[in-house]
Amino acid sequence: MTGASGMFGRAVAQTLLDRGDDVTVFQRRTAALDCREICGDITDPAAVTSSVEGIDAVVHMAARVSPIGSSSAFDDVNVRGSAGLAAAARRAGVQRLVYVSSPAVAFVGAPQVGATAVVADPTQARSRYARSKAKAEMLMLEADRPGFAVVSVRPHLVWGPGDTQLVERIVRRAEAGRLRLVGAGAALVDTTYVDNAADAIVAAVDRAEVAHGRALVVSNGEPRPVADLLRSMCLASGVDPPTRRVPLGVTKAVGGGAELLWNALRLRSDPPMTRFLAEQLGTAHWFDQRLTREILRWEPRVSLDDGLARLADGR
Amino acid sequence: MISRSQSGYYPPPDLEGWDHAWSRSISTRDAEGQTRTWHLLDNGVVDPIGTLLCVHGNPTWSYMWRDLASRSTRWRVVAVDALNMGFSERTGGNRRLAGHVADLSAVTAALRIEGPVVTVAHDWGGPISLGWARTHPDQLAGVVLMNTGVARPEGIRIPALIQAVRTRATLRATCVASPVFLRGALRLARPSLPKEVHQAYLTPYARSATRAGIGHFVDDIPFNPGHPSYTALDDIAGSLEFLAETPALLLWGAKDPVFSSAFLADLHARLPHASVHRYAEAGHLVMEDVRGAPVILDWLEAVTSPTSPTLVSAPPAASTGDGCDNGRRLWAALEGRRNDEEIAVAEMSSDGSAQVSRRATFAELEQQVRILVDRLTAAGLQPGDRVAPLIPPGIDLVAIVYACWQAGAVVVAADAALGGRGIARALRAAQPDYVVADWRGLAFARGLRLGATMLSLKPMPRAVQRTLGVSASLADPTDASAARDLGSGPGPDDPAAVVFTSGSTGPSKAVVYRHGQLEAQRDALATTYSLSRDDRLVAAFAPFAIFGPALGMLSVVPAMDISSPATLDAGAFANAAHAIGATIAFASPAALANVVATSDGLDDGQREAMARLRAVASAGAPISTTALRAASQKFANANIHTPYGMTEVMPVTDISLEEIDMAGLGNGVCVGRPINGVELAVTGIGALGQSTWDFIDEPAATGEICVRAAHASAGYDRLWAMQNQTWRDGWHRTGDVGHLDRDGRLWVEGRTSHLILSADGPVTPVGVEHRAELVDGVHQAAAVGVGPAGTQQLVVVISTTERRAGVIADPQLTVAVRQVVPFDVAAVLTVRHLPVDRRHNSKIERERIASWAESVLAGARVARL
Repeated sequence: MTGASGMFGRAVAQTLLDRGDDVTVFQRRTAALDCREICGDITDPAAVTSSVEGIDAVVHMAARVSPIGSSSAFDDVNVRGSAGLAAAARRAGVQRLVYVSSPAVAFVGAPQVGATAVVADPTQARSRYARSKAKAEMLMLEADRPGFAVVSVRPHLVWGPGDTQLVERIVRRAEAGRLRLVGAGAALVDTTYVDNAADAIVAAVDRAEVAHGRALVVSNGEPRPVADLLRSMCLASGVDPPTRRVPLGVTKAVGGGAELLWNALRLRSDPPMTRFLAEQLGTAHWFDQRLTREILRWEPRVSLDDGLARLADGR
Repeated sequence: MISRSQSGYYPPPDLEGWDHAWSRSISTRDAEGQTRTWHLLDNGVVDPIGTLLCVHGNPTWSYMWRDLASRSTRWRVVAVDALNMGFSERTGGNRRLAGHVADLSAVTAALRIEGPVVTVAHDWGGPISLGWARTHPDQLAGVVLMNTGVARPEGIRIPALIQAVRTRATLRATCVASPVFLRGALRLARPSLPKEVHQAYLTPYARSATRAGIGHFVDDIPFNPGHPSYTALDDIAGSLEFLAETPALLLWGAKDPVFSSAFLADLHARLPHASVHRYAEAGHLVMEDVRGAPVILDWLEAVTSPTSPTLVSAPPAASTGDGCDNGRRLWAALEGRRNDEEIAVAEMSSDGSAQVSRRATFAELEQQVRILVDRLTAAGLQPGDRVAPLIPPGIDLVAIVYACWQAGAVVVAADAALGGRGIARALRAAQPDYVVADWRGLAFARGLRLGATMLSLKPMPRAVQRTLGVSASLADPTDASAARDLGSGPGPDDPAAVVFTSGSTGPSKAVVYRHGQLEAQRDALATTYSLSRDDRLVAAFAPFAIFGPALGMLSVVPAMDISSPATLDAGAFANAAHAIGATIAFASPAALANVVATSDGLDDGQREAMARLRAVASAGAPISTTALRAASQKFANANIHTPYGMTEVMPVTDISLEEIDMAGLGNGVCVGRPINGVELAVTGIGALGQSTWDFIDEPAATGEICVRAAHASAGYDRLWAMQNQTWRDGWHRTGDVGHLDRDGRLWVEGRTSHLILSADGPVTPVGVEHRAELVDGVHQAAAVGVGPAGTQQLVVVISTTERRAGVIADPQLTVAVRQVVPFDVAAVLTVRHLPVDRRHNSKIERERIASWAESVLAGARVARL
C-alpha cells in the first residue's frame, strides 16, 4: 500500500490488517501502523522497486493533494510516480493493482447529477491536481492486461474522525468565521464516510479479476445539499455552521484570482478559495452507484447520519 | 443477377444513422427491357418472418427507412431507391407511376424475395406500393401507408405547395435546376430535422443533374383525367377492396399541408379495417417526426401473433346477445315518458337569478328529438357519421345528442372546458362530418376548415348561412319525405360518442364509447348513486348532465360559464337546486370549491334548497379531503361522494367522506371500492418505471392500476400505438399507480410518469406527500425524483406558511420531514406556492416541480417555480 499515513490510507491498511492480510506500507514518513513499513518517495525508482518485491496486490493511494502548486509538481508525483509504480509492480509479478483516483478526473465543470464513471479527461479536468490524476488514471488503466488486473476506484469526498482534509478545513474556516455558503447552497453533493471508502478499496482488491480495466466511483449514495452537509459537519465538530452566502460567480472569480496570486507568489499556505473549490461547492456532485455496488459487491456500512454521530463522538 | 456493380453509386459511409453494410445495388431489366442499376437498403435479416418492402416518396430516398432497418431483427427490410432517385441510376428519361410499379416488381423478382411481404410506403411511394401489392396478392401480408393518397378527396383543392411548383414555368426551376422543392419538402418535418439528417436527405440530390427524378415525380401527380398516370392511379384507388382481408396500418402526421387529414379520411374509408394512428403534432415526414419504426414492428407483432391483442374486444356489455333490447337504449326512458308533461330539463337564467329561463317537458323533449332526427337525416346524416354539437349544456344540447344517438350518429363531445385551443385540437382529431352550432360556434368551426357540413341550430338568414358556409338550419321545417327510415337504429356495438381526455396528464386524446358502453355507464351511475325517476339533478359537471333524460330524471344546468367551472357561485347553484327541488348534484372540484367559498351570502330559501340535497358528488378531477369536508358542512343532509375514474373508464370506484375518514392515513389516496361491475388489478412495475401486462396477485402490492368494466370505453380513436400499449382484452392500463388494500379498497399513489425511480426501486409520490404534510409548518408537499431514472434521489418540495430563509428548508423542518418519510430524502426544498394545474386547480404539477428541483439541486441559480 502506498500512502498509508493519512486518515483514509490508515483506514485501508487497518481494514486489510484486521482481516489478516500481510500488509506492507510505503510512504515518506512513518504511518505508525502495526505492519511492515518502507519509508521512501514514490518518485524514487529504487525505493519503489524494492517496495513491490514479493507483493501480490498493490493499493496505490500516495498522491500529491493540494489546492495549489505547479503542474510539474503534481505530474512528478501523481503521473510519473504512478507510472513507475505500475511498471515496477508488473516487473515484480504483482497480479492486481488498485489505483485510488478521484471523480474530479472526469469533472469538466458541468454538474455531475447521478453521473456514471465516465472516462477521465486530462485536458478538461478543472485543476492541476485533477488533470494529473486524470493522466495517471489513464496510464494505470492502460497497463491493465491478463495477469495484471488494474482497477481505478474514485471515492468522492472521503471524511471521518481525524480527517485533516475535508472536515478539518471546514472546521478551521468555520471557527475563523470564514466559511461561506456558495450560491443557494443547494448543490447536491455526495460524500464517502472513511470506513465505507476503505471497504470499497478492499473490495476492489478482492474483485480485481472482475472489475479490472474499469474506473468505479465510490460514495455513500446519500447526496445532500452542500449547505446541509457543511452544517452537519460543523455541528458534529462543535462549531457554528455557516450562515453567510456568496454568489457562485463571485466565488469563482475570487478563487481564480487567489489561485493566480498564490501560484505566482509561491505561497505555501492554502488560499482562501480556489476556482476548483468554488465549483466543487457550487455544482452538484453525485453518482450512479448501481454498477459500482454490483461489480464490487460492496455496500456502504456506515450511513451519513451514523458517520456524523461518530464524528461528534470522536471529537 | 445480384452484383455490387463497379459503377454503383453508393451513399457515403458516414451518414447519420445509416449502416453502410445495408447498401447494395442490383442490375436487372426495367419495364422497357433496359438493364438498369438500383441502389437499395437491405438489412439482411437471415431466416426472416418475411420482408418489409419499403417504398419512399418524393423527394426522399431509402434513408427514410433506416430506423426500421436497424430495429427490425425478425423481418428483413428492403427499401429500393426508385430509378432517378436516391442512389439509383439516372436514366435520362421520365418514369411514371406504372413504370415505377413495374420497376419495383422487377427488382423484387431479381432479389428473389420469397415469403410474406408487407409493403411500407410514404408519400407517392404509397400508390407505387399498392400497385406492387395488387400484382403480388399471394405474397402480400400487409400494407403500411403514411401521409399518402390514392385520390384527391372530394372538396380538397390541389395543395398550394404542389400547385406552385407544378406549372410549366416553375417545375424545372423549383424541382431540378434548384433544390427549392427538395428543401421545402424537408422543411415539412415537425419538429425540424437534425442537421445531419437533413444533410443526409440532400446527399443524393446535390447537383441539378441528379434531381431530374424529383421533377418527374411532381409532374406525375395526376390532377385531371387527361394525365398519363390518371388511369393507373384511378385503377389502384378503385381496386382497394382487394385489401379487405389484408392487415393495414395508416400512420399519419396531421400537420401536413399536402396530405392533409382529408387524405387520411379518404384512405380510411377505402380501408375501413385499417389500424390508424394519427399523430396530432407530426408533419409530413412522419417517420422522422415520431418513432414510427417501433410502432410498425409492434403492429406486425400484433397482426401476426395468433391471439391478436390489438383487436381490443370490448368486455361484453350487459345487452350483448340482445342487440334489440329497446328497453336499454339510451333514449328508452325519454321515449317511455313521451306523454309526460313533467319537466325534463330546465335552464337557469344566465344572470344567476332564481329565474328559470327555459324548460322542456319530457313530452316536448321527446318531440323535439324526433323532429331533429328527421331534420338531421334530411340534411344527409348517415349512421356512423360524426356530429360535433358546439352548444352549451341545456335543452338544445340534450335534444341534439339524443337525436344523434337515435339516428345512429356519433356525438363528438368537445367539452367547453377544454378551452378554445383544446376544442380546436379535439375537433381536428375527431374529424366530425357535421357541426351543429349557433353562429358563434359555426364561425369558430369554419376557421378550423374541418371539411364538415355545417348546420345551424337556430333560424339563420340565407346570407349569413352563406357567409358561414352553413348548408342548412335545423330550425327550418323539412319535407317529412326527405327523412330516411332509420330501421332498427344503432346496435350496442355501434359507436355513440367521442369524448376527450383533459390533457392534464399528457396531450388530450379522443376516446370512443359504444352504445352498449354508454348504456352500461348510465346504469353504473344509477346503481352507484341509487338514482331513480324521483331524483332531480343539478348538473354542474357537464358530462353527466346528458344522462338526466336517459335516467328519466329531471335535470337543471345552473347559470355558469361552463368553460370555467370555478366561476359557479353558491347563489346560482342554490337557485338551480331550488328551482327543481333538487335531490342530487354533480359538480367538478373547482365548481364545488367556489360554491363553498361563496356560500355565506345565501338566503334562507337557498340554504333550504342546499339542505334538501341527499347526495353531492365531486367528479372530473381529484378533490382533497379538506375540500370535501368543507363541502359537507354546506350540505347539511347530503352524503358527500367522489368517484375515481378517468375519461376512458368512469366511474371506477366511489368513496364517501365518511369512508375516507375511516380509511385514515395510508400510502396514497383512498378512492374506495370498485363499483358494481368493475374489475381491478395491478401490474408489476420495473426498476425504470416500465409496467407490463403481468398482473400481480400479492395483496397490497403496488403497481399500475388496470380496470375492466362493461361501462369502459372502447378505447382511443385513431391512436393505434397508444391503444396497443394501454388496452388489452378489455383491460385498460390507467397510468395511475396504486394498490388494493386487504379490505378491497383502492389507493392511488400517483402517476406512472411521476414515480421516483431510485436505485432501491420506484417510490410513489402521494404517500410521501401525505406524510410530509403532517409536519408542522408544511402547507403542501410534492415528492419528486431528480437525476437519471434508476438512480434518482427523492426530493420533497414543500410550500410553507413560515418565513423562509432560502430554498433549502431549515434544519428542523428537514429533520422532521426525514423522520416521517420512510425513504432516504436527499433534500427538502421550500417554496411559497406549489404550482397546480389551472384547469382543475387541484393536481400539483410534479413534472414542473421536478425539473425546477433538478436545476436548483444541480447548483443553478434558483429560478421562480
